[in-house]
Amino acid sequence: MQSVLQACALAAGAAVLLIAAFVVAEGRPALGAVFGPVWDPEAGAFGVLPMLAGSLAVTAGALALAVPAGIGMALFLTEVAPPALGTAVRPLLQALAGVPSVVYGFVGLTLLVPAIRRGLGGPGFSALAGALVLAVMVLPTIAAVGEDALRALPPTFREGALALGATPWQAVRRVLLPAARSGLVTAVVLGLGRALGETMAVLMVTGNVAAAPRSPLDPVRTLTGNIAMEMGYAVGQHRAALFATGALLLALVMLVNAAARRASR
Amino acid sequence: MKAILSALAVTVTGLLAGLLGLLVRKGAAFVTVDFLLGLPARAGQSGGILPVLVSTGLLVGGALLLALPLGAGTALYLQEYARPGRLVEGLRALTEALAGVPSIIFGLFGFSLFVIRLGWGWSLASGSATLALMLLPTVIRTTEEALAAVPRELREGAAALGATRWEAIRRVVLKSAASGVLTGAVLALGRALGETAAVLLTAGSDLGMPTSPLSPGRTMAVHLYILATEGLSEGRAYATALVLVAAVLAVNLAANLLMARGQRP
Amino acid sequence: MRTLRCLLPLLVLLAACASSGRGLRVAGSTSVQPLAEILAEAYTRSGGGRVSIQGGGSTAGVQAVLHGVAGLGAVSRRLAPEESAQGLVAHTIGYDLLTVVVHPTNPLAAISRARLGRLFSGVAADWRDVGGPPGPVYLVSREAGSGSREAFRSLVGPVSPRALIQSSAGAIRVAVMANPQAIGYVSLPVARMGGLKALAVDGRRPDEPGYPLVRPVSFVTLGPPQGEAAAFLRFVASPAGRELIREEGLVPAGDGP
Repeated sequence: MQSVLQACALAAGAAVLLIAAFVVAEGRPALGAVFGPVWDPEAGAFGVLPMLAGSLAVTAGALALAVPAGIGMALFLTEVAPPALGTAVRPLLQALAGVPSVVYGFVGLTLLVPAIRRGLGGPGFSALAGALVLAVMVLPTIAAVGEDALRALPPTFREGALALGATPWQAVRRVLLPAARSGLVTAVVLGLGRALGETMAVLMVTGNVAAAPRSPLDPVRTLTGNIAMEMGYAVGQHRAALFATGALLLALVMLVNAAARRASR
Repeated sequence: MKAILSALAVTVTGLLAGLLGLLVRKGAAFVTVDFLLGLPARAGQSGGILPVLVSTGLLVGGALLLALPLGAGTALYLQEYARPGRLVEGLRALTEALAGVPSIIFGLFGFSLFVIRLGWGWSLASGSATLALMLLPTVIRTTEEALAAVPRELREGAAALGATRWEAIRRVVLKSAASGVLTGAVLALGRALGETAAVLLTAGSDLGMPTSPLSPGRTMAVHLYILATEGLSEGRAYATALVLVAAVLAVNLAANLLMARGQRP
Repeated sequence: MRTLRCLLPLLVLLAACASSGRGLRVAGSTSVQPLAEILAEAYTRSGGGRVSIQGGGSTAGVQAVLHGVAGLGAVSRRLAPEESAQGLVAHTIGYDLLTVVVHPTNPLAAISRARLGRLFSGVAADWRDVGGPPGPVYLVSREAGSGSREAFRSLVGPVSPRALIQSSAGAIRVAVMANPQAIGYVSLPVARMGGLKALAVDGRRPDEPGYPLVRPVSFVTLGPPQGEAAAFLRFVASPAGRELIREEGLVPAGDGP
């Protein structure tokens, strides 16, 4: 029996290595070309820097919203809410996390994009739309992991601060948040990883223009969106470029996850 | 501080309530028995979604059928058999890395391997195999946690009674960890329901009723994506979104109940 | 739970011997997809086998046929020389009218091909430049592998890299319907789904003879058609098939230019 189970474990461990090796091998012919500034497959240009800018813009925007909101929700659950309210709110956050990304994309497409166009200008399809949709998707992750980090703190931290005359806000700002820092950083980094890897919702609301955004109202194309859109028909060097993009994305996400693990130690 | 955090919590819960309310308001009228059990007509502009429901069930069921044994086997090996050391740490790190791989990469891998190289084409088989890889980390992680929660005394008691390691696991440990393992399966199910990009690339988007593992199939998430982006029927799109979200929420609720029941002594 | 692992080889066996469940796969152009689905439905109803339709774009369809993943590719452009060189054969089933669409409130009703080219290449970036009220022009186009895009390029001109990209004709329709300053191009069947205004080009409306933006619609096979693919193609060329093509607004092959 042991050998059967060992085989399972080795197979599972091999899976990610196989995927990584496959993506890198198929992308190798184009690994140099992807670091250019222009994506125009018909002209033989396979630079993904505009899409990297798109991914970063959308992710940064999402985190700018989701990190304060997520940590705020975590603080709400640990510091403000009575336990009964907490048990009601927590499943709601979980539900928000469980809603499939395509539903967020759909609501973004039908409500958010026209609203941005009418209210702020531009085509509506924009980095801003992508950031807003991603922020809602990433917030529950940051809130949940952040809450775990705050709950892991000994109650004496809070009690001690209050006993020394601090206001609740001072206790949070000067004692609890710094003490929970590694866990909070993990929460943020996990959110970052999830945002970078998201495909469908951003594909539906960002307009997919392969150019770096000059303002939040400009349409963008993310690394994931690029792969999803062009995979079906790409051949030769174009196809290799998409795999190389995948390898780049994989490297980015692995880096982010490794940073999370290091931060949580 | 309390005021700000409370306002934030109200906003976030309001967001979720608003989202659900929107889906209900625009889609509930279309969720009839005819819709759930009827066949689609005119590419989904009218009619029902029965083939979509069937494809979703078969695809997700197939994925769980592949992921549960492999994942549970891996978890059993890591928890019960392997001696702590570099190999175990390495395997665990690899399976965690699998969790971070963006879904589009799984789609790339699955498309190239199952659809093209193995010749399965766009099919439920290709989709299930790809989805199984994505679910593996969730199953491994939750099974490991469930196994770790089983008290040592149970294992030692079984050994004292003369059981071999496998007999002890099969008759004692697994029974005790059963609800935790089931919770993991249910969580994986929830995640599988929401997957879109990888499924579209591997299982295709044909609206017909699947007749074999090699038939293509359209899942609920993919159907929503197509209805939404092609503007085929806003009401049916909202209805599909409502059914999908309801399914995911039901799955989450089941997971929560199982977890709570498992924790009772 | 462990017995589940015994089902794994069974699944593989099922997969191997259930190839009868595959049926004919048609993959490719999303512009042609509505028509393909109607033809497939009618073909199956009249006694033919099961036909499944997949989108992805014309070039994706070509790739699918080359890799053996699909039996027929649906393309809305001419085959490129290198594609024909690999053994692909195009069977033209009709002619589609590439329709230029704007929001219903757009005052523009007609445009010359030259001005259309200036709009879409990005040279004319404001509606003022083509005789409309001032405001930015939002171009909506298909992605690079699309047959519609290729047909547009050869009939009108290149598309600006700043155009918004949507992956299907239906998605272009959604985008233009939602933005009074948008302009895009779709196939006639999709334009007929409503909610848009079709522009006359070079003085001709799409429903008038002589409309300039005409492109062939074909099913492609690898080598000469065989088996189910051949049967389906025969149905499409039959009077019943040609009537369905006509109903969708296309001109069936052999009906004249």
